[in-house]
Amino acid sequence: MRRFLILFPVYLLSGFTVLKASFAQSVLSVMTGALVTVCARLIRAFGGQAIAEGAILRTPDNSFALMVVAGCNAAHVTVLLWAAVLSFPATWPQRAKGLAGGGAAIHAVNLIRIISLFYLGRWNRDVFDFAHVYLWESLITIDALVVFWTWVWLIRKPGPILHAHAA
Amino acid sequence: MPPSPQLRFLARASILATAILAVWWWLLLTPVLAVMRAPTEFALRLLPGCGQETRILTGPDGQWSFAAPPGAASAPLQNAIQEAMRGLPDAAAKVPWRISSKQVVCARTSLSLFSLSLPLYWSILLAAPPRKSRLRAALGGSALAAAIGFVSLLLFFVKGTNDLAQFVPGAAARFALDLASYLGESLLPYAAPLLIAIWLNSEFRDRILSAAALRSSPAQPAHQPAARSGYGPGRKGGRSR
Repeated sequence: MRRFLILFPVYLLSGFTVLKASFAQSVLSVMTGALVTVCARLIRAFGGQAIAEGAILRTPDNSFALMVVAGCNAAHVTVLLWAAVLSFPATWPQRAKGLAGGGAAIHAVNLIRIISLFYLGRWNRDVFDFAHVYLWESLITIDALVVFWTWVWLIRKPGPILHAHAA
Repeated sequence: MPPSPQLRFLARASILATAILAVWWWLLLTPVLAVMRAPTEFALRLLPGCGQETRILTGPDGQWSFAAPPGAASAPLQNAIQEAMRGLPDAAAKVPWRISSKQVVCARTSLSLFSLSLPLYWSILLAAPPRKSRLRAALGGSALAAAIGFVSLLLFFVKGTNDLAQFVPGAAARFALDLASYLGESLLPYAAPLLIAIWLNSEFRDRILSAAALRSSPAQPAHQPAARSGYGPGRKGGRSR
């Protein structure tokens, strides 16, 4: 526990320091563009209409456009989750699974978040602001905690040998 | 198969967060910001170059702004204005120009972000497993969450003022201020309530982390089932919700 309490802020600060670096910003902008493209494709796949232009997701008639900026690409929450995974006592293969699986889970939720914000923004600006600033950021942070908790539960789960011994 | 404790917590926390944050956003945000204004003004008056007359003004869109001292960063702009005015034929060209202050503006969305910690903490507190003295966690955690929101808001204004006045000496100190302000905007309002809840609610903490406390090494022999504890099917005497 003490080890976790020491390592977690260290990893967290290191991660956010890296996020502020210019090389990370260029990587993140590419990632954000890809995220917007995937969102547009998903919307079209389900019968909606959206066009991706760099970090902008817009309607074909330009009636609404949404720009995905730093903080909306789930990078902050991913760093939070990764800092917790790296700080927790586990083997490196377990950590690798936590980083990859946890990161994927967070980004899957973030896709839903951006698509839902796209539709909310077209509907009502006030509700969009609430969902954007308050609700979704909170939900995705709670989601990160649940992903971490699930990962801890999985790596502590007894394997088949343990079950056989207990039986 | 019953849902796992993680999924139950996720469902409870999501529903509670949606309800509490909605009430906060539409009913309580404006009065809370009104209460936060006086202590923020008081704190800003302590900054170098800001006098007792420092006031926070509320704009039409609900944004806050205050007049920060211009500092050395304004010198090039001031010189450029003076140079441009010199070419004018009238008396205005002869008047010495001086930038007396610059506005540091915090948009309404950012202001609301700094007040998020409190309702989010309450959502997590209510969604987390019950504990004996929930009142203590509610009071202590609320005070901490509110303090973190207030400090994040102050960091925003201090960083904005320093960008103009450059009163923080040294590159390392400026970087630390930049990073702290960045964390205050992008991490603390969301992450602090979770961390406070985990810290103050021992039962919740145990469910998530107790295995780490009991088993410091990840290499556990398979014939020690008793070492696994905290949650899951092997737990004895644990509370189930």
